[in-house]
Amino acid sequence: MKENESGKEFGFVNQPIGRLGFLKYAGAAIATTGLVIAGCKKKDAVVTPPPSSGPTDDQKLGSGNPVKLMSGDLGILQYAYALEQLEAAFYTTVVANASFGSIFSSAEQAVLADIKLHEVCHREFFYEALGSNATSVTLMASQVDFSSINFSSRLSVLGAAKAFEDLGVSAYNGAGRLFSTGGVAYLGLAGKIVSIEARHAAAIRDLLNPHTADFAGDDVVNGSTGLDLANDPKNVIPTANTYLVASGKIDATALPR
Amino acid sequence: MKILNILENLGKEEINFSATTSRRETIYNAVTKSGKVILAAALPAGVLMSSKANGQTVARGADAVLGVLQFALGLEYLEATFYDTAMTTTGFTALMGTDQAVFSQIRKHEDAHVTLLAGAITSLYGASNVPPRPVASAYDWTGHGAVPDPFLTLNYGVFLALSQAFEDTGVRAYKGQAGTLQGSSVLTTALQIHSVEARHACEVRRIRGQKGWITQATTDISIAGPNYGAGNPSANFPAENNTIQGGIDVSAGTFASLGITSDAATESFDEPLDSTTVTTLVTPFYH
Repeated sequence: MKENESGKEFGFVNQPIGRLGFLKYAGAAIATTGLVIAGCKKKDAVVTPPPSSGPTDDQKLGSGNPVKLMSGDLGILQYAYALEQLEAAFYTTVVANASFGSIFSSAEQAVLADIKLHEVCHREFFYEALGSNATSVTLMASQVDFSSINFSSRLSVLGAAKAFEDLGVSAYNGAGRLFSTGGVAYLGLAGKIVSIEARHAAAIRDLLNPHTADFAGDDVVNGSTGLDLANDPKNVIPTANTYLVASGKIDATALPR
Repeated sequence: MKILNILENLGKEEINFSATTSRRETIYNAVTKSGKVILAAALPAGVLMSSKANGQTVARGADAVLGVLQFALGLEYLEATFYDTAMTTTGFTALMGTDQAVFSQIRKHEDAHVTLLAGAITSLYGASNVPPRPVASAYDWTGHGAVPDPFLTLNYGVFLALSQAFEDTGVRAYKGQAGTLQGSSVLTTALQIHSVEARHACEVRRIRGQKGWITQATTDISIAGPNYGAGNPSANFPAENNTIQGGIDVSAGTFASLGITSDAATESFDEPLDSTTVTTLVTPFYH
């Protein structure tokens, strides 16, 4: 690495630029990113009339729901924070359940206890990183709805864990492109977390179907391209909102698209 | 060796995105801050393509993205050839027993990544920029004599250890390039490969009786010791035992009171690695 470049790179987080100038560049990037290779998600067209049937993008993103995510990079961090809160709450419930010691082997308990700590760590990381911007999206225990999960059933818990982890991987993969150029540090931090979510997904899948192709099954990793899922927020929020009561449901319409 | 030359010539254009040296306040404020250097580096590929077509000097951003793709393809060549060899060496799959389904799946993905990356380079920069694939005999699975060749000696244990080293290093390698790819049409694709490599790494670690995640920077694979260590510069590419994330110690204070030990903190975040260090790590696997 050339020294001058290195110096610039080190300092990038501290280089000021007006927010408007920033958004202008982000817009230019969106407009010119027309080259699509196999497996790459296309940018959504700016003006696409919604089909007469099915929800609009705004509806998928929870328009009008009480927990409103911010716009820009902070909104994406809040989005990640919301997902990590759900995951942490899920595993905390799993580990605290009276059946935990009986429905899981000791090896399985160790995996789930580890994952719980990782998710709590991720949740607290985003809470601290967001500072005052965390409060409005901090969920109460009473706002989580896991009634669809039977915590006394090994298969129900592992099935839900698999769904949460695969969703998390796809959400981070899909959110990476949404960070602004000034938010490159966030992209780096998200990258440090998404591979942990992928490790979790593989481990949970290995508990369900040990030593098979399922750890990276064709249902999540495209068999032709070898690419994992990448979902836009509009395809993640509807699932996340099913695990939240009305007062905790998320409105992600302000997120970059 | 051409692939090595390509690998060795990389590392000049990396954007080091780690925020480990920044204060927490910087995280809050960075959303409204940036600079021309980064914007230039993140120019969309479409713009750069047109300038190249016009015969002008290719902007720095174009070289950086192409460099990342070539670097990634070099690693995928190595991984694909490693698993191809495993699945085609007489008597080797018998050693795998029921794990064969795992490595058949991993091989399928690595082969697909080779095709995908070569196709991406061809479509974005032209076929002449696709590095040629080394023949199988160009690889040295002993790591210059550090371990027995797992295929010549039918040693499944060495194969598993090398597989873990390649996969965990691959995760770090892709992670180290994300910043350079920001604003490029291939960023999402690279992220989608990155998480697949992490799934592979977890599964191989579990087959080896280990946790699917990396605790501290420890390893039982002597040849791979450095692959959990720090890259260069270490402030941007810390070792896997790093607990400072975005200026926050995720093993202290509230974290500690919630039961997050140092071990758990290091497991919760994977660390990126720069391409130069990755190249140094894989160089012994070429004759």
